[in-house]
Amino acid sequence: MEPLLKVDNLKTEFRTLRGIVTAVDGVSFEVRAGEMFGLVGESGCGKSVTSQSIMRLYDEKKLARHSGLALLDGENLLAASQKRMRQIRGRDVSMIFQDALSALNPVFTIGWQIKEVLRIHQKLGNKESREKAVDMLRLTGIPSPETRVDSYPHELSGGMRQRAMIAMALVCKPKLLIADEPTTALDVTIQAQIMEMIADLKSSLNMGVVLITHDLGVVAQTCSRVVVMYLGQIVEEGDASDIFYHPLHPYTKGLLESSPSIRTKRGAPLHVIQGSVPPLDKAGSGCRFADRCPYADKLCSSVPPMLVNAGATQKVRCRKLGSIESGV
Amino acid sequence: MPDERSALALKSALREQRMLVLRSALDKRMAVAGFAIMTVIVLLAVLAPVLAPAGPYEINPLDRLLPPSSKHWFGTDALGRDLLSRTLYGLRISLAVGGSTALASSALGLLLGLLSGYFSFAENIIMRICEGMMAIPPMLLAIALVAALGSTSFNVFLSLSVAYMPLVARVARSSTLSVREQTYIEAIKSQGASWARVLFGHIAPNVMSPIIVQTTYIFASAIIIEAALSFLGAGVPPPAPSLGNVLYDAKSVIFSAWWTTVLPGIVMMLTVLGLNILGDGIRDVMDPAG
Repeated sequence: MEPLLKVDNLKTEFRTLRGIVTAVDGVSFEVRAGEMFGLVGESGCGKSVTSQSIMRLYDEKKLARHSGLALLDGENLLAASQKRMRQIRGRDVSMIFQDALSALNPVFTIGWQIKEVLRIHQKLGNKESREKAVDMLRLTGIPSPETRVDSYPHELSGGMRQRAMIAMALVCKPKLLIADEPTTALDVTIQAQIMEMIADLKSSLNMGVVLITHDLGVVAQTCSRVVVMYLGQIVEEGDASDIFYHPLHPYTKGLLESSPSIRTKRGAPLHVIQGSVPPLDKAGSGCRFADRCPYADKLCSSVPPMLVNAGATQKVRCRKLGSIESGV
Repeated sequence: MPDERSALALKSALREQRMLVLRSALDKRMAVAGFAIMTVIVLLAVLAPVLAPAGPYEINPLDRLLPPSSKHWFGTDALGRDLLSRTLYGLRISLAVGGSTALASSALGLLLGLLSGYFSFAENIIMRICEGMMAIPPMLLAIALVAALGSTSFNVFLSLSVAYMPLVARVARSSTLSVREQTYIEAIKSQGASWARVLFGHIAPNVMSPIIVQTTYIFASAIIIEAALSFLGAGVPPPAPSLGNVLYDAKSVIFSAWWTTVLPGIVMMLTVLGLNILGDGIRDVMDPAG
């Protein structure tokens, strides 16, 4: 089956004061219709820039170079005209954000904002589009949508705002949804509800979802395939269960060990990955994780590792793979 | 129908919440006072033909320079014209010139500010021109323009609008710069909105509140400058009774007939005061944190 979205060797470079910086470096992945796909990594690893590159929503003035392919149903989004992109955004590819309070315009009601998306893409009567907005709010699980449609964002609770924003993003029934940390700003019970709702809508609309997050737990529950990114590169990819239960890359292992589980002993110190994410322009010629990696040797910081197959579905970018697995 | 009932309850709760906003606006005494003063003044101006005891141009040489009395509340001027009538009609012209100046300069300033805040190539052109214009005091710029164009009410309005436009453009630009970085702007772009829709549909409503405040200040300031221009003979052409012209006519008798300057002067002061208080009030209501 042809994938819905095929990203191939995506490379995005920005011009900064300190020279040209490669924010996304040769990222490739595929998302199928009806599939939830996880894009994982810590802040600054390039996951958001990846999604902005697909949507072409980065700051055009700062962009230095953009190469690779982002095929949506066979059409290369990176080569599409601005006009074509405007048609695609919202109708074929849509986006939801971390903080719904800031992603909703404070001066308009949520109904107006949902109708605005319809005004952009469909010529509908006022009554018809209002009905669609109400239906969409009902679909995202907002109680009494007929009344809530006239509420302003500040009149809603955090969970309801998130639902309203999702309603706005999905009102044109897009083929692909990019969810950029959709639950990070919510408390845990609401997080589960929102993720469940996104998963339900994904199935009922047969929509591909790119879930951008740093929470491997959420990914393990909801995604089928996962890509782990570090400093603009994919360091590991595979089926969600493989990544979660058999992480191969030291960075993925570190990420998993850094979140407490129910089995973590009370009072036991939490694992941390040493150091912090270095600035992109300081990335050396070798493995980008070498400075922080407990397994790294001298060669790691000079020889760039390749993304190699490890098992049937898993790929990993680490030259010490063999020795780590054998426990040396 | 518990569902219907809860929907109704929700509706009334929402309405109550919005009433609270209105009430908090009423709590701001400044805003209410400013609004009250301006309501009275605008009513006086609008109803001038009904309220004025005489026509503004009615000359009555026998009644020259009468002090305030029950027949002539504000007294009469050197040509025997009823000063109250002239003041009321003068209020009309001053409010019309000031108000249209405020609206026109705000509208144009908002447009230029939005464009220069959104497009960096426009920013350099528009803002440099505005800075050049702001280097000249609005008064001087207006005099120069009126002198070049000829003194009619319309030209006074035109030159004052040009003189005040850069002030609004700057405020609008700086608000636009901050609003365009908000996530909701990225969100509506990610829904396929064109730049015009983003800029005028989504950014403009969010930069309005400082502009509205600025508009009331310009209104007040334009009234004063119009008066000053009329006083200098570069404003609304006489014998039309703008407040400035009324004061200009009074200048020669300032020592013998105090009422000719003091009473219209007080009316003008109250108008400007009312507008400034209203502006402060609107600012407080719109930005409770600031």
